[in-house]
Amino acid sequence: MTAQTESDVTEVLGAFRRRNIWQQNWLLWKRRPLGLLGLVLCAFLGLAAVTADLWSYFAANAAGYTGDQPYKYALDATAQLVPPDGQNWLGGDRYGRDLFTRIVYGAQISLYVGFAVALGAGSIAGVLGVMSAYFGGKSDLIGQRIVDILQAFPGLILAMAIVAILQTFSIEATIVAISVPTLPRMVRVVRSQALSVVSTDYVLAGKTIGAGHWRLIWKYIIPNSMAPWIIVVTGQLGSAITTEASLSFLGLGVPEPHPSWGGMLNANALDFAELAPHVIIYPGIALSLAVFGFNVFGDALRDVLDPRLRGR
Amino acid sequence: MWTYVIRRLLLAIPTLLGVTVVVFGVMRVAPGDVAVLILGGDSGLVGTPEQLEALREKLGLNRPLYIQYFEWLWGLITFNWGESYFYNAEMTQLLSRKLPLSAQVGIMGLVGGSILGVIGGVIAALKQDSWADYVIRVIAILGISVPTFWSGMMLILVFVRFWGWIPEQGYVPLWEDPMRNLAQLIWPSIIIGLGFLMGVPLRMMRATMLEVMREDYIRTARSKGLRENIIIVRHAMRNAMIPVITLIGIFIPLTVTGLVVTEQVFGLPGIGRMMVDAINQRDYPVVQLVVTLTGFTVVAANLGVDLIYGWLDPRIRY
Repeated sequence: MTAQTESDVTEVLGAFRRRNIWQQNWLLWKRRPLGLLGLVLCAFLGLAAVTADLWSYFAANAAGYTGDQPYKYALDATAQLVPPDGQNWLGGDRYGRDLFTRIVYGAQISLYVGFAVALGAGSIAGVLGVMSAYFGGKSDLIGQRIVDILQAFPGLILAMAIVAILQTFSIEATIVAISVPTLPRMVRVVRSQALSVVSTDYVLAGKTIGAGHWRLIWKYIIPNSMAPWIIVVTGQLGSAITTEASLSFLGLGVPEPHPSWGGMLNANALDFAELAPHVIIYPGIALSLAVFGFNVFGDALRDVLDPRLRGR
Repeated sequence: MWTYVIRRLLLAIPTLLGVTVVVFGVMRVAPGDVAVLILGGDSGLVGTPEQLEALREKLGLNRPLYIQYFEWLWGLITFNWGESYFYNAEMTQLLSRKLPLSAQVGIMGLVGGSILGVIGGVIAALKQDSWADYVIRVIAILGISVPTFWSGMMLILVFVRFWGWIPEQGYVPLWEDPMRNLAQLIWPSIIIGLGFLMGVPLRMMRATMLEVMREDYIRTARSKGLRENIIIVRHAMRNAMIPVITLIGIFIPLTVTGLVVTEQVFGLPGIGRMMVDAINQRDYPVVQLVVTLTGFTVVAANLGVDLIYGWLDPRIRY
């Protein structure tokens, strides 16, 4: 760190503040090329998910498909395990379904599960964490012990056990199974932030002027606990997508014929490794890029939102 | 120190009990009759009323819940773990066959991955913002992003394509044929080690190393004229390692997660594979036991980390 005089600092800060919010953000982001790459990948993934029908239409046209079943489910005996060509851009899977179309639709499933888990479990964890910190007392004590115990289970194992008791394989069951193990960590993060907010002078000031519980929680505590919440929710996206893929890969997650990336990589896929490596390669690339994108974007976001962690 | 050790050991007991309560509770939330599920499953082939009654009796399902819990807990403590329906064998026997395999792969991956992670993190920190730093960081984040099962499949794919070789299925214990055992288990261990187990400590090590290198005591060491190697190994790494050690607590769950999918990819008959089969076969006693034991392992690992922490860092006094 080079020595800076106070006036230097004021000048730099002043210059920073004179810019509008987009320019300020750009200044913070352009020094994080990996984060930007992550943002681009996430945007690309979102675009693929939104425009999946369009791509499927083009792919179906290219293959000359005229059936009335959605193209992502359409079986074509002549396309079984065919290598990528002009008709099946990324080849066909073991049932002769178009791999390209299924991968594009796979983005919908991954994003749906990822966001449902992150936002759903994130909201529940947010409420529980803030309540636990604000009201304290016995419920906080008991709640934290339960969180402790739940943290003793590896996420995937707990998710598998939940699948076992739900006894149904569906996208919704998968979301529930992945959400429960993510709760403890998020509750922890929110609670510890909320605890430090609760003990600040401005909350005391709020109490002094007679603000009620709800006013204190809504106007004082929640806004000031948001940054770590956003960080932990974003961080959860990548891992939720990985867990979904792992569950589906094990045959315990999103069931066939839904085009889940993990399901496409199901253990039997290895039986065709020699004959049709594309069946393994492309879904894995899509999955890895998505998780990579969310991970680096999440890291950069944490950097930008939490100056204390910068450079880590 | 000893009072701390004893206090910490005693504090672990309620957590362990909590683990058993949670597992037992979760497994009993299961809708429907477990006996019907085990006998019939989706197929609807429900056994005769006599069979159902016999199974309920055997599982203790016709007794009050708290008695079931305490019986199960007592069995757990006395290593009377019951039997598996699908494998039709005593659970203790099953585990004694499968545990060595999973433990070996897990430990090899864990040790290899953490050593690589620590070394990589130190190099990245010392060469901060150089190309080496960027390459190492990208490898680390790829390790975290690429799902273990896919990297395992890609490895097998490469073997099959270029050498026409498929890793052996089944399992040869280490003490029967060490060379064959290692030739078989080295690959899943590498796959587990190169993922999270390398990536997470690498990033942590880099961060703490960067911080430590700016500390006053490093400047003091330099001004004493110490050689840079000694400063890095004795002064910086030792201090930077402390927060990394705590990560072992989160490594155990990650290793277990890695094991479940890697065993599936490599066709290894370990604990993870057993868990997946048990869920598909609705073999609830196995699921319940495996989940409990993983919970215990994590609690024990955290306990170990806390104790090591106190011993490693003389500043921490209890």
